[in-house]
Amino acid sequence: MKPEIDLTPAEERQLARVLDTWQTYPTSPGLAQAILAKARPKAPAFTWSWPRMATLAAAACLGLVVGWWMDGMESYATSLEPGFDALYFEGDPIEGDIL
Amino acid sequence: MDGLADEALMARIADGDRTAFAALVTRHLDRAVRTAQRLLGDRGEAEDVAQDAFFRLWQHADRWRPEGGRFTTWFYRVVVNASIDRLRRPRSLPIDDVPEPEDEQPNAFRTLHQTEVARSVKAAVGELPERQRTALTLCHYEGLGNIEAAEVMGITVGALESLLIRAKRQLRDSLKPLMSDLAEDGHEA
Repeated sequence: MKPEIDLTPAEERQLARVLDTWQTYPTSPGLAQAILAKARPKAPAFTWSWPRMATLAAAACLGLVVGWWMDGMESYATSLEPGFDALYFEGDPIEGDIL
Repeated sequence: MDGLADEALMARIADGDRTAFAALVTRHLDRAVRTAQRLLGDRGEAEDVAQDAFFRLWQHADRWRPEGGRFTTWFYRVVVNASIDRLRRPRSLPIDDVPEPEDEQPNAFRTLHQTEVARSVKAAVGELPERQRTALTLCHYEGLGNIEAAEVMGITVGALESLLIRAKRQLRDSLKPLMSDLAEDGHEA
């Protein structure tokens, strides 16, 4: 809803003229360059591709194999007790040391 | 690149095209700085706002959807909101302490008078509540239609008209002596 009191057309024109006396500063010459310098190339978004998927799958398989092998080695070492320490520590343990 | 519409440039910017970004900056930088200057009353702050607005645009261009309206409407909204955020922060320099740009008129007295008038106008506009100032900036200084300005501000056209009328009424009252001067100078029939 419009307020009741409005400006007359003459007042509108006078006010517009007065308002137009306020001029803004021109934009600094180097601003556009500064903005462009700040906008660095974007890192490409991650996308799935067959070579990438194959590499990831191979890395995962390798991780599983290594994990499985280490697990097996540990089980094997445990089965050799009391000679267990010999697998891991070379030389003679010093008596009294906590290994 | 210059012949492309803003919306097409935005699509390229979303793909990381810096040339498209440069074209968009060239096209809209002055407008952004000018609008922010009217709202903030300070060129330095206005340029910071414009810089941030463009930087955000560069980073999040992929989120912009053309179905949401014209690019300029959306970009004005970004600039206006950023300016208002800045207005609400504590400021180190009062709005009317900033010197006016030099006018290169040969008549020194006239230049001085115009500078004084401009300073008064700037102060009077600075006294307006921020929504009235925004409405006045968009409609009077930027020449937007009421529908687009209302869209930028996220209000109805009726609410925008109401803001404009209140703004103009307050300005008429505070700038009355200047308006009379202009009329006496023969500017007004």
